[in-house]
Amino acid sequence: MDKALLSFVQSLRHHGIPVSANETIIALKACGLIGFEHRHQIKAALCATLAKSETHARQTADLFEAFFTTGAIRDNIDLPTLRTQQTSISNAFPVPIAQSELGQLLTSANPNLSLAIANAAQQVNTQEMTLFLQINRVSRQILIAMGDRALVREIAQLRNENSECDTAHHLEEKRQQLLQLITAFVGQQYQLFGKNSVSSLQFNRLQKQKLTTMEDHEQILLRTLILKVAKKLASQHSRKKKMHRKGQLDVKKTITSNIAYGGLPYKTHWKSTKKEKPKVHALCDVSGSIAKTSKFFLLFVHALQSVLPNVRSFVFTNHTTEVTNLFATTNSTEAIAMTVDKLSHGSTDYGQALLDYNDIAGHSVDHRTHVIILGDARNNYDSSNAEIWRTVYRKSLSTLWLNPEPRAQWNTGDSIIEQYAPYCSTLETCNSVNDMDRIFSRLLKHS
Amino acid sequence: MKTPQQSPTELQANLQDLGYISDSSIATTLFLAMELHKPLLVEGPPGVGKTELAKKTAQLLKTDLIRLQCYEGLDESKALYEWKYGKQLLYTQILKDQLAGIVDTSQGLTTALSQLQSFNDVFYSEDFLQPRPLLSALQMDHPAVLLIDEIDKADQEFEAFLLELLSEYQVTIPELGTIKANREPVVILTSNNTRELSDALKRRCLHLYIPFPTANQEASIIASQLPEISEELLNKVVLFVEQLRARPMKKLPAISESIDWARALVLLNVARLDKHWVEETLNVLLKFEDDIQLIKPDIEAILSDLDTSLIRG
Repeated sequence: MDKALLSFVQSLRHHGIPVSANETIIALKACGLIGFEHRHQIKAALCATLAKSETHARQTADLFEAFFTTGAIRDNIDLPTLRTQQTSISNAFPVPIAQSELGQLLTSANPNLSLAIANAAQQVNTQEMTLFLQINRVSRQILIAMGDRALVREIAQLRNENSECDTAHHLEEKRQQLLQLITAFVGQQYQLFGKNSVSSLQFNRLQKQKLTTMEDHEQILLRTLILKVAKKLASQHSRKKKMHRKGQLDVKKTITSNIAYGGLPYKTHWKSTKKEKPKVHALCDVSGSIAKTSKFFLLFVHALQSVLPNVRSFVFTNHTTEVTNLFATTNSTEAIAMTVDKLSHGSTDYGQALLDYNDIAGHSVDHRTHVIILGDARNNYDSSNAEIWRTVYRKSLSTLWLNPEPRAQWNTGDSIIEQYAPYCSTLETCNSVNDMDRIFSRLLKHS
Repeated sequence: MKTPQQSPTELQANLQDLGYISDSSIATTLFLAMELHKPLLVEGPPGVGKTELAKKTAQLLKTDLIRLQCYEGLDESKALYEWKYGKQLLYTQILKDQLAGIVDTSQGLTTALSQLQSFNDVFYSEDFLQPRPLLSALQMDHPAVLLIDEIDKADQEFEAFLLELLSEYQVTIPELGTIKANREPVVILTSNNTRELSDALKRRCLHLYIPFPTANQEASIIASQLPEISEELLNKVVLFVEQLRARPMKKLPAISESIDWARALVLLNVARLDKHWVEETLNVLLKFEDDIQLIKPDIEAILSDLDTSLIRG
């Protein structure tokens, strides 16, 4: 049973549940304590010891079913069917005598096939599978590892000698049944060990991929990823408020409040620093030229708004509109579709957009506000109104400009990023989820 | 303390005797936590009986429940120990003359200092130590149940501070050294998941997630709390609440709220649950005006659904 449990732990790790060695030991102890009579108790014990969150617990429970149920079926149902078939055949014909090792195993009275398959599977590293397409190849490899070549030669030889040979026919039939068994086994192994690697591969790739080259169906996956990043940021930064610096006496306060006690420091006061929650204003260019990136940025702002307090969202092309309320009341897909649908017309005018923003929200920008803007600063040769951006820069805690274009394309054509650049605390290229995560972590850490 | 429970099944039955209806996963996990001496981290939506589990455990073990309610800004002086500063100051003032005497009789500064130093630790002894919940749990002569409630409300620093306690059942006080538990307490932590807890903390605990109960479980929970409720009303209440939980609301009604609602209906002598009574008492069940407005137009539809499903069932 220990071995089965260890294998189960392996399967959990393959599905992205981080199980440490210590947790495995505790799980083994727990199973020892409970005994193996009650299936549901074992399941509960494994969930409690190996999983550390609700989703992980649910995954563990599902995998538990897949792992321990299919194993039982394999041992108890498939093999007897094979055996009865074999006995029915051997009753009608004289027992065929096979020369090859695998042939002997298949025609023996009580073949221990599952053990043989498991041993062969270890040789070909079944658990390393990452793609569904590999199931057939791996099954063949296992068959070969079990000695299939010798068996095939033997069948061919028997057929050469006598084309109607019953033994050859019988062996071939057994061989096909064995292959089916192996494919089922490998399929189960893939389900337990391989399935998740695909999505983690996809996630890894998505994190690095340029947003401008992303396909629509990938954006659905991206949604999950972005929510993850936004949640991570929020949990790290949203709750920092008041930090007591115990150990540093506030001398002034202590002396004044203890005058009544004849100067004896009866009541002490300690220094504390107050960390205020950051306010975020996010402005996003939604014009056609950077539509792909802005869609994704809006997704991020939507996620950020749902996990952080004090986030206001704005979109602009040639004028600015506040979408905070829309984002707060509508889910991300609809909100973004509505925004793009209604507000993305017209050619970009950064000067007018900044003017509008200043009118709507300029007064609420203060020393704890981060202003984030996503745009390529391609202004169609209109005026830049950079002085407004300068005022915002002076009043705010920081201004962050994210430009989806690579640095080489800045200030080419109608791009006027250089006019805004002096008034940006940070000016960076942002064109992947990784970029976004990195920039925002840094921003919130230093706020 | 009572003799330890023999098996999860027995534990489940014992909890039920105390009025706590659990399922096998709750009982198994709690059993393991007690047997393996590991802290138990209980997560789940508010009002599913996380805190109650700790209370009933203490009641079952016939021992004390020591509770530490977490909040933002909670630090070790409120959770673990504090020096009785006032007492220290008072004693130094009272003993001022004696101290002066000691210093006076000495011949030089060095001798005076060394004499003073021999009294140094007097004011930092256990007599001047004010134990807070965590320390009192360790100092108990019998294994207590320590409930660290809503750990997610505390700061991350506090979480890190708990690690030593949770893994070794000991704490380190700089002036006194390491204090080990006399008898290891049963530690239960609860969290509402308002923020993600650190992996280090999770690794040290057994994990239990309590979801909303099934209709049957909920019926038996309410029945155990309110034996006088009629079966018809009970079934309707449970099914109604179950329907509400499937809707997108700000705050889903929890078990404690359905118990309150059932209690209110019994108090009002409601024999049959109809639109009028639901409208009158909906504020017991739902805690946001938005949610109430969301449900109000559908009350009749939900009730007629219930009737048909009850008839069929």
